[in-house]
Amino acid sequence: MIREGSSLRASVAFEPYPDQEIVPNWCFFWLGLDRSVFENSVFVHRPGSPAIWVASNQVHLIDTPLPETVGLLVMRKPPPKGKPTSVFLQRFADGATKNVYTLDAEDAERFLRRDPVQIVPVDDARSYCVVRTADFVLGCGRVNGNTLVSEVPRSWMSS
Amino acid sequence: MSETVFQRYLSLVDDQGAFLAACERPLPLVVWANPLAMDPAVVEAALFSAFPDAEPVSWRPHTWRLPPEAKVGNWPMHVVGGLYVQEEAAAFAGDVVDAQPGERILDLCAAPGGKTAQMAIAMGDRGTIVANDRRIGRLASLRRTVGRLGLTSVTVTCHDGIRFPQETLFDRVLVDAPCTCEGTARKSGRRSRNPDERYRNTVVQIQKALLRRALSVTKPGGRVVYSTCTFAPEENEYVLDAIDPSLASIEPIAPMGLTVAPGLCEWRGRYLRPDIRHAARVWPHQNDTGGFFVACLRRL
Repeated sequence: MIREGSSLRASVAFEPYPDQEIVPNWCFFWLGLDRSVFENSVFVHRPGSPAIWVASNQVHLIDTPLPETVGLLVMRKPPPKGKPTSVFLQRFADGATKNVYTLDAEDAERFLRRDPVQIVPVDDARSYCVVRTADFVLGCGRVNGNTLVSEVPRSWMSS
Repeated sequence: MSETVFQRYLSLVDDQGAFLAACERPLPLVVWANPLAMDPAVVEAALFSAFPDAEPVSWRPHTWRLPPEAKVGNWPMHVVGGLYVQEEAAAFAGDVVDAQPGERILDLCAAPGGKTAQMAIAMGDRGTIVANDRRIGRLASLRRTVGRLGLTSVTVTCHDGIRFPQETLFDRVLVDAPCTCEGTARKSGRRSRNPDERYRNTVVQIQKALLRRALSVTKPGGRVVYSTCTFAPEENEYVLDAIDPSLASIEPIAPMGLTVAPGLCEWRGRYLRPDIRHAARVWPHQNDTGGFFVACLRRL
């Protein structure tokens, strides 16, 4: 089994993901994201790995040399168990209308430092959520009671 | 006594005093906005709010100069890929590639990915950019740049550029070659160090091999851009001169607003192919930048 998301030497080429609707459907249901945001995209994977990636639909998939990555990692596991990555949400979830939390500047920095942020839960607390400022998406979070827990990578903010 | 880095090139510059003075000054911090992530107007407003003395870079849209001491690394806007810090002369090299939507581009020595990102954005993130670097240790920074800026057109590979496979031919290839980095002296404070001739001799062979490989994976009529951040003619014009003229011509670079000097056709008694004059030398004092060398080749 190939472990995605960490530095690794590629051993299998990328191919189009068999189900091109699974991610748009998940995003529409949980985040209220219109499927049209993916109209110029294609979902790809490495056979044998559960991870899904998103690439430009004009990308030419090469197998020599074998790629380390193609486009952006969407989820390390397919829906419904998969968690959307923060880079995926930053790029595609600006138009999300469900499970969205908008933070002020102070809470935005707290969120990026992975410190908890106090919120009033909206929509469906079972879902991962889009966390943003008024102007741009910050990344992925999840709700635990009245606390917004950051799911952004630890390495993002230097100490 | 061996020459210092700057004494070696004084005979090449138009204003020696200005050149030496520029090399002593700290380098401005230059950033550009990533329209894939957020509205450049939002970025601009934030920059001017934090740095009232910020200046737009006249020759490049959505690009600004900040004071040398400015720190934006932990800004949320930077963390989420809304802006990118890149030396101005380096941005010039990436722009010379002139990547177009739908094309297949190879960035042969891509890490940490700034020029890859430039090209992807120029393409509207539509098409294919293969961003390659031979060093596993540098892949993390390259992958981080791709993810942070939200680039879906980029494929990352880890392969020796000198032996890059020839199964795929590209419309354009960028060779931002490893070099002695003399042009980064303003950033790194290497002002008085003597050049390491042994390293230079080694890296020149690598540069020539990379450029030859780049041409071999470029479609006939395609463009190869060769660039370094060093002043040494041995690593710049001599490398170009080693290319068979029947394989590639060196073409003029369309003016972009940055002041550049022509490539050298003669250095210390050695005469070089005449089309090398179309290459561009970026001297620190001409635009208040670091030093760079850029050449645009047409695969014949």
